[in-house]
Amino acid sequence: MSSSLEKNMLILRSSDGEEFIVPEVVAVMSKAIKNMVEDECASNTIPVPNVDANILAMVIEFCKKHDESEAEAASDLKTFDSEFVNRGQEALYDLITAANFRDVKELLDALCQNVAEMIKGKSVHHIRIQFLGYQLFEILTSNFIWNIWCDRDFD
Amino acid sequence: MAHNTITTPNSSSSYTEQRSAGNAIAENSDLIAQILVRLPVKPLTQFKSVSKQWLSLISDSQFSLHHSRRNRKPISALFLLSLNKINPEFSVLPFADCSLGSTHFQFLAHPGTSILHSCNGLLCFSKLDDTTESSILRYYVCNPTTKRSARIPLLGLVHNCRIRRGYFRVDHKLCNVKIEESTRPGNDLNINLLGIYVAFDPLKSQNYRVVCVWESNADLFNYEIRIAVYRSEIGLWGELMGAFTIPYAVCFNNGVFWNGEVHWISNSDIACFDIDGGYLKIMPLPLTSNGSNVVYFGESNGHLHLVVNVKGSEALLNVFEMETDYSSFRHDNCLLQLSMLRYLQSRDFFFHMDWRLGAHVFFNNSLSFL
Repeated sequence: MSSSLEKNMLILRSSDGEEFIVPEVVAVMSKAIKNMVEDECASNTIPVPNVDANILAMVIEFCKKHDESEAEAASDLKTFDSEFVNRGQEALYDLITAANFRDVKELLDALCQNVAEMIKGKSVHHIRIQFLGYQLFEILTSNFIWNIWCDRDFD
Repeated sequence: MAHNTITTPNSSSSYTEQRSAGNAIAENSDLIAQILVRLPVKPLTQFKSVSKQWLSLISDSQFSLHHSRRNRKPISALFLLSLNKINPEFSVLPFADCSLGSTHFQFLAHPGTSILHSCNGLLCFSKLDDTTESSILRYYVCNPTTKRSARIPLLGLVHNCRIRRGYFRVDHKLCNVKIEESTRPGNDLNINLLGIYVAFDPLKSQNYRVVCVWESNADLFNYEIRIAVYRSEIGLWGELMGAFTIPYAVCFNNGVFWNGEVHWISNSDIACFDIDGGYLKIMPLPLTSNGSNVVYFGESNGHLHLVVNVKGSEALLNVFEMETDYSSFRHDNCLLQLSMLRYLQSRDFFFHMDWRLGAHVFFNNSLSFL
């Protein structure tokens, strides 16, 4: 019994040391982990640096749902996705970074779509604060470039 | 809790974290591109001014190719043009959720401007330029949504219908078009510009082609036409191609770009010019009886369609769809309801869009779908 559990389960360790026991099929939805498993360079415990327990739990929740509901209707999954990504910006950005770093395609797709929806109606100013809050110099130069660009005469 | 984040002491740290997470994304061009590719065009053009990084990401040709492949949009408006070439009048007929209006195209409404052709969102027009000692027709290709236009190098002198010996002054630097001495019959050389067509497929490439067709010689039944192709990426006209012999009945008013070729039709034939291959082929059309009447010929959703109405059975529209390898036309009948019959007046026109056949009614400027 315990050997079969070990066979099909993997332990993921978050950056702050918490461990999660996950079925292998769920874990390998992350391409990065899949590669590690395939190359057999992973022992039972796979460290997931840069991702804390909070975020890792969310990613695992997402992957589990997607793994279970393969047979389910696509619309159900869509509802789940849209509810799942409906979070505060902080978590959202952390999730994106994690999904990108661990290469979880479905999650990254859902998250990027959500961010796109979020910023669709926002002003340029808002976007700058959100994404480049500190890059004042960058903003000044880009403004300058923009003005030149606008003044160009397209004959 | 989210509302008072600014005042609580905890919030300053969460704000910093939020910023740092945002920055982590902002520094990753791949991620930003992933997000941006999911945005509609309008915010995208606004977001060009967010930063240099965003500007270069959004302006990148690979990105816009990716974006247009992802966001295939149906036609959003019809652009109607009157046949008055001197003072073109046009109206824009938007479908639902289209913000374009006639005012958007006002920059085209100059006397002496005539709109020649359009293809997948690019317009080709000519403008009479009076500033030089003789007036010269200049040709432009423009993108009405960005209002940017590019001048196509000189073809103006060729446009004069009759060019006398010695008067022939096509600027060789600007345009590689040469007409050999031997092809000139007698003293006069009749050169009629038959048409200028713009060929553009945003799903394949960001570059467009301009195809210029003129008649170099004509006998009783055939044209001899010559064709030159302008390539936007090098900004030059290519070699003059031809002469191709083409039946007189082929109508050059409407050139349809599809599958890398420009198509013209007569009542019985279809002529296809392969732009990159530089050859022309002529094939018979289906339903080639004299009584048939082509009500629509055009491209929609990546397919070439021909709608033919046979005299005597006006209620029946024959819709043909060309196979990509030109092997055959797929045939489909569409029975018109009787109330639709009135659309078959000459000033109304049909169009084919998103698998539906539509009709535009001239007198009340309305659209209906069959």
